[in-house]
Amino acid sequence: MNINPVLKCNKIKKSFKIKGKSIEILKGIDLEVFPGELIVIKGRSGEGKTVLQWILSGIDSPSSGDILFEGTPYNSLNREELANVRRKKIGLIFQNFNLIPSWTALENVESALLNSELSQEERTKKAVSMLKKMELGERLDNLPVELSEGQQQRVAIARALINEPSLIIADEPTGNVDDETAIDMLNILIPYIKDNKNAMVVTTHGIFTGMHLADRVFHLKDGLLTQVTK
Amino acid sequence: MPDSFKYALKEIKRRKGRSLAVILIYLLFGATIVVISSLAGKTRDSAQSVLWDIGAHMVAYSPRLTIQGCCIQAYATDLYDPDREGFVANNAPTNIISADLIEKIRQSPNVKDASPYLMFRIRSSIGNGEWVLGGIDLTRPVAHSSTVVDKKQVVEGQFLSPDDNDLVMIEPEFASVYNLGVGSDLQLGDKIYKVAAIVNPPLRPGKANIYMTLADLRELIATRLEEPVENPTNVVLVESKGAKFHEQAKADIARILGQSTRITSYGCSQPGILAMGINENTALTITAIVFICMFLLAMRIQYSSVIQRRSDIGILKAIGWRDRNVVSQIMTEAFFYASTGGIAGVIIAFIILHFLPADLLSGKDTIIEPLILIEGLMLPLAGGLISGMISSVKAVRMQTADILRSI
Repeated sequence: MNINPVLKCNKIKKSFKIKGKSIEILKGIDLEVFPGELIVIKGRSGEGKTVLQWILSGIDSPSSGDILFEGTPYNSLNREELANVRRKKIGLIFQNFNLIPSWTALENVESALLNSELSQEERTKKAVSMLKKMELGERLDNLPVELSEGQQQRVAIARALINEPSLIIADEPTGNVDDETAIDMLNILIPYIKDNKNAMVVTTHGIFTGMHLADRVFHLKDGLLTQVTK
Repeated sequence: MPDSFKYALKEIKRRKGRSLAVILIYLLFGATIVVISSLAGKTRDSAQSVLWDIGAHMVAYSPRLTIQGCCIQAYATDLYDPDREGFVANNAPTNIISADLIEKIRQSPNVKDASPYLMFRIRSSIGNGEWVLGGIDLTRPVAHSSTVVDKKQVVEGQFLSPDDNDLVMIEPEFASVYNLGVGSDLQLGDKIYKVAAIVNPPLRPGKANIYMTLADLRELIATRLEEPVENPTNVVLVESKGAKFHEQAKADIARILGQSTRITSYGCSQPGILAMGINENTALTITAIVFICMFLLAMRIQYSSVIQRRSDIGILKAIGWRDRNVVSQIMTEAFFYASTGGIAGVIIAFIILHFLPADLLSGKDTIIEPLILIEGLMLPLAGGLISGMISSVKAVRMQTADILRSI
């Protein structure tokens, strides 16, 4: 039975011009991510994990190569369409959470629902419900600075999951939290991708608490991706 | 509440100090425009009013000239009465001007109105003097009001109306010399006229001793001439469309009536136009300078706010905000600042104008003209929207990946 990948990358290359010199960070990445999969990409700092992540999510474009998301090439979409894909289909979890510092927990989660067909009331209701699932029902009106790192991480997860994306891309999701919080986080994310046949790509430079749960592990080194045995 | 407004309001409340500063800039600009424009407008109106009285009117006539010897021009002997009775203007004998020439003058694009006027010198019925009679077409008050006599100059009695017969108006000196008053009888030729009013016009090109309706004077003249002239007119009273059109109107009249035409008007139209122009240009210059300063300052603050929100914009774009979401938020903020500041500015201007000394307002009331009000609202708004657009372009051009790399 052929299952179509959620994400498929062909020969992705990415170069940057630094002081007039062209430096190739990614040298030909091939990757397929299937529904229900947890993919872990390991690599040392500076190998291009975050660059790859942004290319996979459509935030950045490759110097060459193709990316297909659910069969649709990214390069056939304009900026607005790409933004729509990110909003509806991709949930991003950043290493430093990247919450808007002047918005409350509720407002940060609600912001991901902009441009949806829901009314304002429905958006608020949905965001409240999601935050309650994250056990943040009492912290709706707190700013990020008033939350612990673990709580901020949960707000970031809530924001990433609120649109029920088919792909989650997480950059070092357990890097800044304690083990207990990391386990709590995985207990939310893993069932989400397994039960709903969604996919998750995690990039990490160190130890990822959920490594043992990964379906496939890759090593990013010298601009190339190599699958490793778990 | 639309999303753009909701997020814009959030941002406005978040940076209260900055928001207040931007609103204050627009307030100052709006208030300055309204106050300066109102003052300039009222000064212009006063100047225009004075110029209307003396700078945009003229009297045209064609002196009767003859050539003596080879080339010396001199006034011809009065055609109709060698004892000096005849058609005159400025004490000189004149030619008759036909009605169709007056109509041509009226149709000039630089002329607002032209009216026939009749000036006739007659021997006085008291003593051995001469009187100058002025026959006015009272159906065309625009032309005669500032060249001959106006209702506002009645000292005693009732100003003539177009249908009046056998009534005259006389000047105070004339009344004093001949011991006449309102209701007195005055003989002109073989007819008795009653004095209806004593009028005191200032120095005017069409000044006469005795004023009557055009029809009455024509009737009187008919009894004085050996050869009748049908509906004579020897002077044209002209009002140009404004001080700025005055010189061109004079050129048109000279072209229509001929090169020997004499045109008498007050010579202050040119300096008057210049003064008005200076006032208007000064107001425009000040408005332009204030607009540029306001625009640059407001734009700088709004632009800076976009730079400061760079990371927020990057994060929001990363999670799926479209460029238009960012633009509409920034434009909504800009609109809010500009409209709030503009409205407040107009209110402040109204208060300022209300308390200004009456001299500065040339004695006029302090109501702001609708056009100036619109100007006071629209210019800050225009500046605000332009600032917003420039800031929006900056926000749209920010590459999400570059922003996230820098966080």
